[in-house]
Amino acid sequence: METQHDILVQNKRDIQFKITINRKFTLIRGDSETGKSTLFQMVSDAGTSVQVGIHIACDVPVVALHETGYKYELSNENGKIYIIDEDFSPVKTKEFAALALKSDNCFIIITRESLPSIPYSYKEIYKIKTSGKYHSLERIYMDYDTITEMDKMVTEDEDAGLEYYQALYGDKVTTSHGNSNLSKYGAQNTLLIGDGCAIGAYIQDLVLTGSALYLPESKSKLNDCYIKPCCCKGTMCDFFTRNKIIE
Amino acid sequence: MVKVYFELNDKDIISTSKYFNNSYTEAWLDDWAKRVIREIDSSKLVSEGLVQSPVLGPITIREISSGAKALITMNADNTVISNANSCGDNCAALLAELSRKKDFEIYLAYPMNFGSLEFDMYIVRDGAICHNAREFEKEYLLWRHSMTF
Repeated sequence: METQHDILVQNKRDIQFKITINRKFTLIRGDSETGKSTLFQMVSDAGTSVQVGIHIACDVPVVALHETGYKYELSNENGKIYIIDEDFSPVKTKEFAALALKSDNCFIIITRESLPSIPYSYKEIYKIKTSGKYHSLERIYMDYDTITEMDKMVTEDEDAGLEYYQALYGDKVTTSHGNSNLSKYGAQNTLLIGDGCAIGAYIQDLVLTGSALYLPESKSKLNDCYIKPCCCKGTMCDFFTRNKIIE
Repeated sequence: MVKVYFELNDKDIISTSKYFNNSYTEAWLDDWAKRVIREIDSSKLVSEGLVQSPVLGPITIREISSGAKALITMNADNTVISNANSCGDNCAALLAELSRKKDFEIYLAYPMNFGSLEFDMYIVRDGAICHNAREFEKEYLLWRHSMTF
């Protein structure tokens, strides 16, 4: 399914959420009391067959995902946007990640857990911005799209990506052998280079290191190709496609 | 002092909202609860179970934020490990203050931003003591780096 959708959720008491999602996985975090649970509850309440005073406008169905029956749901349904709240404990499991990746659905996940089994972009992590009864999403992390030469440069990739950056910057570039290790190399005067569209699970760690970050990604079809064998390891992002320049 | 678990078995993790809704008693809704509801939810605990919210209007205590429920549980119920993953960064000040007043346990698997706050924290996985954000973040990263993803 297409991954870009505008969603409006509102009730008759004028509580309103306007959300745009861009990718298969969208994460919502942020402060307490911004409306995350209210959003989930409204979508959940709207999932009944009787009138409940809630209106959801979107080009595809938007539904709440609950623990009961979720495996069947993800194995058999497609073309939906599922919203998941912080009480949905399977979200941390590899089994859920595999089902979600394989399914042709999009997911809005309310959690502060890092979810390393799910490849999601650091640009799709949001908080809820509130103005009275009106709510929208605001990105938590700035863009890390500019590369700056530094004393030490560490790239998550150990193959073509490493060769590419070494061709540009020499032996100062080393590899962390994977995105989960990247933050271990964090230090002052160090640039950490990662695949932006799958680094979401580690962005909190990377920011804490105080290192400079370069996390490029492409603008389209992200996550979609994770379910297929693909030369770019499923990311289709600039980080890997640029490698072809030096091949 | 607050004991922090970065990891827990699923069976030991509580659903903050559901646990609170099915556990709270009148005794839980004390001055601390009033303050939590005022400072986190910008709302007022009017009477037992009734809260006046500026956005939602009059609501029941069951409809306050998960962060507020977690902070009230931390103070009122020492039989469980409270789930601080329900707390956003805006809960850090009250969590830090409570840690200097009493002993309680929390599950916290994300790097809450404590800013310049001071607190009394015991990290269960390695026995470290933390009193500020720098020390906590160092422990958090040590834990993350020890994990196999």
